[in-house]
Amino acid sequence: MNAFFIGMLIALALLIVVYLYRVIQGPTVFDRVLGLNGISSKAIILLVLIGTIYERVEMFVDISTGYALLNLVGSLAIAKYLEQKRGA
Amino acid sequence: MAASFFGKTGTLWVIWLALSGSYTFANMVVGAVVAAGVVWINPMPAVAAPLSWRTLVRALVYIPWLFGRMVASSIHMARLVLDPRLPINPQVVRYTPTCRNAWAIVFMANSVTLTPGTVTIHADEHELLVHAIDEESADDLMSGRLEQKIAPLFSSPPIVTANGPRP
Amino acid sequence: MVEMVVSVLMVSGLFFMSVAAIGMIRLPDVFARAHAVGLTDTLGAFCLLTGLALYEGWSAHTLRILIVLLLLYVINPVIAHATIRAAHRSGLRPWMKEPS
Repeated sequence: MNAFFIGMLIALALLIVVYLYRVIQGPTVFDRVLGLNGISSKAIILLVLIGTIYERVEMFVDISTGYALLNLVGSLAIAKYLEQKRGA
Repeated sequence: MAASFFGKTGTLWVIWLALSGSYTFANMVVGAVVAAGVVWINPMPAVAAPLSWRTLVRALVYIPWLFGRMVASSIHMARLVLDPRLPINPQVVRYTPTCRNAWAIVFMANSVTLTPGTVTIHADEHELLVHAIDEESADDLMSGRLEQKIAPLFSSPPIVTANGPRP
Repeated sequence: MVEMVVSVLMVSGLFFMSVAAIGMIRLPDVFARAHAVGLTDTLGAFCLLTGLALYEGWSAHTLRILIVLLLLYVINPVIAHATIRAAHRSGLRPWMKEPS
């Protein structure tokens, strides 16, 4: 089962590269924000997977919870800022 | 005052216990103290959630239905994206909800985002501005099927919104 | 038996996440891309995390994996909505098939 999890880990890491293309290439800044959101949702799952492989889920789950909440606050702040920049 | 203080503290305490994952006596006491401190520092306004037993029972029926729709939505999106011709036809539609309950409209906006091919761009008391990825999704939204499911969840008296009661 | 269910769940989760990534590349503008991130990605995360929770078995950690899942379930649509709302407010208009 561990080999399966490691394969899953590599596949998710490759998906992050695809999102990174959108973050670097994105024509507008909103594409970049969406891409970063996608990357962080991958990162959350990667953390839980790493925890499962090393059999230390209880530690990594805490980190991923913090990551999810930081992602929410950060993305909402960026969206709010971009909204005020030109919308006013 | 006292009742809502204990209610909020209890809610935060349960969240603390679920997140910390250890159920020793010391941890429970620390959690209760921290929860009470947070509530004492932040005088959060009491949220008048229209919670009744009937609402809860109906929500238990509604949530699996929404989840089924979500799976259908993702399969629909997968078909669109993997098709080499990329048969999408994006459009922006305005949907006017008939119910005037603020909670129902918030649920409506969230559910629209989760159902096939539609994402809410803007929501207020009068209308929802929805981006649909193709005609099928837009027609499905405009048929009002979603609202028929949500409206019975919140049949309590409408809540006065931040802008005051609507004329 | 459990391992088979876990494998099926995780592979289908990976499939939905790959679809979201391909959609991220192929779809024409930020409004359409929000569909991929808001919906398909969330379902992929649901399948993957449910699989991991099943693999862990029933313990307090499982509950916390499910809390992460619940958070993702709420957070992803909210961020997709906030982003395209900001895009709409700042004057971006959705890509249409034929200009009307």
